[in-house]
Amino acid sequence: MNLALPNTLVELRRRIVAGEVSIAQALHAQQANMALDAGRWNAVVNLAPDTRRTSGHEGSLAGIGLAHKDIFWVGPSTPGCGTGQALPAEPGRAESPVVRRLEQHGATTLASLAMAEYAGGVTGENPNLPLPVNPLFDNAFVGGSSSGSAVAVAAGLCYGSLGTDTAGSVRVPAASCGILGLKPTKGLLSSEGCFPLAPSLDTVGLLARSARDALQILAASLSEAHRATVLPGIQTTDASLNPANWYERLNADLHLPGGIRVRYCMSHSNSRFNLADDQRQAVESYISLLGDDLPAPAPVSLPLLAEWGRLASIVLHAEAAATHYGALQAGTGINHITRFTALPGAAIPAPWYAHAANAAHLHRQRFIDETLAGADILLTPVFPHGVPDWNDVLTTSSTFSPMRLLGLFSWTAFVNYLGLPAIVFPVGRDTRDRPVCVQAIGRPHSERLLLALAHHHEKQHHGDDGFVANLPALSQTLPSRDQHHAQHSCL
Amino acid sequence: MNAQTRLPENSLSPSPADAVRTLLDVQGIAVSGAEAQALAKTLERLAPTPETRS
Repeated sequence: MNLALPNTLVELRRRIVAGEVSIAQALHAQQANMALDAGRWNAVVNLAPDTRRTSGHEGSLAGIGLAHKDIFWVGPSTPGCGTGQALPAEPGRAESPVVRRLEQHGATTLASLAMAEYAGGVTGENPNLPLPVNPLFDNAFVGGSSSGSAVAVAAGLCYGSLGTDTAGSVRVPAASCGILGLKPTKGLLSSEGCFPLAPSLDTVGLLARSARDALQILAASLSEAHRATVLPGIQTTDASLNPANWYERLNADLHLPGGIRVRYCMSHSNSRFNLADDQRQAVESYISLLGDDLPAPAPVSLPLLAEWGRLASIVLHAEAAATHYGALQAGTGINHITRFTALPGAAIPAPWYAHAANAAHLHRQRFIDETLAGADILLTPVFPHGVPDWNDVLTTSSTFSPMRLLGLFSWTAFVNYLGLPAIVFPVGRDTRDRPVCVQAIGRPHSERLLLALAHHHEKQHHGDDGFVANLPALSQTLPSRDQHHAQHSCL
Repeated sequence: MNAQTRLPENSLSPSPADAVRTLLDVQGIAVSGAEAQALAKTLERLAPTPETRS
């Protein structure tokens, strides 16, 4: 008799804590799953050569395999950052404390995952690597720059992944694959040990298939001080775990308070990024349902949305130019997409950059005071015209549409400029049956509330299996506990 | 970045693309004509407008 890996991290953890599955069994099955990527989805760059240092037997993530964007320094390994090869070693370079904390809580790092080169693209297009394949629809694009993270999680290769988000690079790939993507408050997760693109905007974030899974990963990622502030009462040790009331406790951790006030905006101040009808209908349907359990969401306009996008672009280009200045001068070392991101920054007047950088905190306060205006969450769309085909947004395609490409981050980039937390999760399907996601933006350090909002929808419409019901890679099975012992006793 | 970026004010001035190309050239960054034209359009898109000058 074989036991299939469950869809969610929290269910696998319940089985481990209940003694139904051993940590070794669970890890063996997950490692086998990760190997299934070869030749199918192009999510994996490197399988972890040695998991011994990370396979902890204690902690809230013991027995859980994660895989991360290939942008983090992890142990002695040097990331490739989508260049197709490991970056040169930098003696003394600190490893990512976020990855390290996950491992200290028992998580096993299974692989490094594909990404746009140097995190410089809003799609997964990267001439240095095979084109990532969307597990939901073969022709659909995969968002970037954390493209491998989205594919790996949506395919069921792993339970969660860290990515980085500078203008939407966690949220856009997550939305393209119909999963959850969380961009935390700027600075909540350290960017140390992570190759920079635009440091003022860069934010370490996470992708998962379930809000409950995401909460476990976030809790284990945070420093103790941040966890006490942002996730008070959330335990990350086995001492508090009890399989008998497992879901009762997890659901309580993500209970959505009934008095939460939600506002929403569906109209972009740049009319080119307004919503297609099927996108609007799906988002409006979600907002309508939300009104059944919360005070009726109220519409709000965002007259500064285009301006915030302009300021975000100035900061992004200017800081990306500084990051890649040597390569711009040499004319080599970066591909055409990274160059497209960095080059404008070398021509941007210094006062434009200084003004944009200095005004960010004023605009953040204005957003809190005027846009939220006493509310807790702002809902927006993610993709104005839905999840496009690769041919629409691939820069080498004969039908490439620059406007479709710009539209992909038209609702996300300004959030990085404001430094606020945001989450995306699927709320419906469009006329092509592709996922329609919403973005929920909160006040600083409101990550738990954003996860609770996602959990509220997930629980009502997807039960306990997470946002993606049919996971190609999880059709694999792991041996029962008895079979596992029998196999290993023969070795 | 450069504080000296100026776009031409009349037809006798260099084109925006030429101005951008010169600006990058002095930094040791070579760009093609097509890149210079695209950059000029990007800068035009990113430039402050009367509404945003506050």
